[in-house]
Amino acid sequence: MALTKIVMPKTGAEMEEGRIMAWRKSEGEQVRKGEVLLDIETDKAIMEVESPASGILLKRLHPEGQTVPATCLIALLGDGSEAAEQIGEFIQSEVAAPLPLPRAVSAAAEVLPPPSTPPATGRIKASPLARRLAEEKGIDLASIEGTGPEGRIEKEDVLRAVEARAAAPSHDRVVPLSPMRRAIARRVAQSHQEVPAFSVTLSLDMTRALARKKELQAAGISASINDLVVFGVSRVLASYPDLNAEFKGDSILRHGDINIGFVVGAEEGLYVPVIRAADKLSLEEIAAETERLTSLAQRKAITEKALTGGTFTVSNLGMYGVDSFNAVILPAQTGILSVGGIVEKPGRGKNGELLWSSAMSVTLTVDHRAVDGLTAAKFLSDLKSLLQAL
Amino acid sequence: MSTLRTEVAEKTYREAIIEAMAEEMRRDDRVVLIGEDVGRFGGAMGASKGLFDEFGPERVIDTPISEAAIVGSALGMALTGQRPVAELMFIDFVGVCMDQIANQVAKVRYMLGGQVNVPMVIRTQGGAGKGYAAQHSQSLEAWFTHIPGLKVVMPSKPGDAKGLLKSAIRDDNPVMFIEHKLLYNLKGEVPEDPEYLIPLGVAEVKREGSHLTLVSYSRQVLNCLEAAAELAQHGIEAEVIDLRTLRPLDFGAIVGSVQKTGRLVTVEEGYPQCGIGAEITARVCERCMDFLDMPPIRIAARDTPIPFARVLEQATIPSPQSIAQRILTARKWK
Repeated sequence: MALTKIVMPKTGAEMEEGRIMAWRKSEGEQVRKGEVLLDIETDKAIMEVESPASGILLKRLHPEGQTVPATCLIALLGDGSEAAEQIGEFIQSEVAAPLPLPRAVSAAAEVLPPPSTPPATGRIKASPLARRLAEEKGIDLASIEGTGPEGRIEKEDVLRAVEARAAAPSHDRVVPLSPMRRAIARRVAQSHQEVPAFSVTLSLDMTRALARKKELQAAGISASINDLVVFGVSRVLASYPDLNAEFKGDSILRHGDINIGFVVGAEEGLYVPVIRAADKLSLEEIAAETERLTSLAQRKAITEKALTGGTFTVSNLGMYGVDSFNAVILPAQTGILSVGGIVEKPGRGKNGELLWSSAMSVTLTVDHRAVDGLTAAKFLSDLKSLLQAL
Repeated sequence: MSTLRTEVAEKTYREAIIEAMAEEMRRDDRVVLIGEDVGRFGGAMGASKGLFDEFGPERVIDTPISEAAIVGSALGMALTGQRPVAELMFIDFVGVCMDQIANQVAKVRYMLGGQVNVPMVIRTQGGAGKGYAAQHSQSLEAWFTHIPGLKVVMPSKPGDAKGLLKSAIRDDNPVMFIEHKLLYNLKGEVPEDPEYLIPLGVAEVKREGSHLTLVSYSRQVLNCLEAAAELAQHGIEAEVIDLRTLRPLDFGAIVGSVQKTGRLVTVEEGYPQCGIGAEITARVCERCMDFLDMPPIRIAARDTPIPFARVLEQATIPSPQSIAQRILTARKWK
């Protein structure tokens, strides 16, 4: 049987590398086509990699925690009849430069070290020079991330750790950035630096919206408060094309579609799945879509495609009791709506009587280069009218 | 190394070897040359052209086709007061005189308790690249570096060839002087000084660098220098050490470089198993373990007889491209 290559998938045009989070199958284990082989982390999401074929997982080339370039070989499947030499040769032919010739029949074509298997126990891979240096400098090898082949710690890695330690006091712990965290850091920093953000806050009464939510629940449809907000935003955005746009320097690109992203928090960071053409979906359809996408994100099965193409974003921290906040505008967008929690507030009716309302604070943060405060205020006012009349 | 005059001339490797022998034969009439076609024909590789005309048949001796007789006679000459240079046309033929070299030439001084000297040089040539196929293209220096009692010298360029051959002829011990068939036409600067000597057992840094140490000899030194130029485009500065003498090995030069770079790559044209690179790697691991930042890399010919077909022959021996590729894929260079 021909060996089947498992490579680090290229999940998107800009994806360059992925980190192996967890192997789900062991070497020697039988695998069926479609079964999950491993979890990987890209800069956008954590995802499962399914096996393209059935067979036995012969070799896992990289350990958990290793970052590998996209399209690089990470594992091999076979039928179990392959000799160790054949497997070793195949791997070397994949990682070394290809030669324009058929291989010699004998096992050793050139004198190459055999591919070493990942350690069964927690033995740390480090070059002798790195070990000596780490000991001299009093740095624990376990705290250093190795960038050499197979995660080997090399001299440069130790020197980097020494520098980092010099910058931080001794009781601190240096945590390397995950690809997702690195991407988030880069995006928010860029937004902060480039976008003059301006926020407008408004409080609205969710009494009618909550009643609507109950009706849907009785009909077997579970819609969240955020779904109602997303629905409202999708309808109002149509009248505010500059809020559904991208600032391009000397022009504003108004998008034809209204694709609303909503923030889903996760242990490793956050995802922003996108509801495409939200203005064309009913409230029930929006609720179903957010549930589907949230579930995918929580199972780490969401695709890169589902996380791109947003034109406006809604972020909700109400479930944590937050009153209000100003979220950071995503790249290539001009606005983001931050939603707080619902609080029962007393108010004054038309005739001076005491009225209770379910007050919810929403903050619209806009790119002031494209959108003025007046527009922002009008948008919120329209949103309030819509949600209060649901 | 003594250099009384500093004039240099551009000469070929072949001319440098002829010049070395001619100068030594003029200087000391005990020096003779013996081998197949070395006299009237001027050498199968042209490496003794003109010597027969200058020194005559008593000092430039044509022999029958018998390597055992060539080496055996040369040993006899050496033991009775002459300083012979014996030529073996192809190193591949050494099998038929191996007893003479390994058991007689290398051991007779030891076994006679120092009562005799064996001041002889065995000149030969090897290497692939001319399509001469499996029995005429080998690099068998590993066989000789294994034997106590022999010195082994392999020059990579004309100036070194002259200086080393003169030192070999003046050495009172048996020296294997191994040339490369593709180097004979190589041009280079050769000092004119008849006292230009390069000491045996001393390596030379042909290119300085700080990222890795490339250790090689003979023709592969040229390939290493070309590979180093390509690596430099990737920001990798390779130090290239030309061993010049394989036995005794200038291990100090290697240690000094590896302590600086932390990375060892050996390059040879011989077969991979039990080759020169294996010896160097073992010694470096024994003595410089704490300086190694990555496992040593050995680059050698493929473990196969040298093919006849040119394309296969090229793919069997290291090239500048294959050397550079091995290094580029060894780790993530930043």
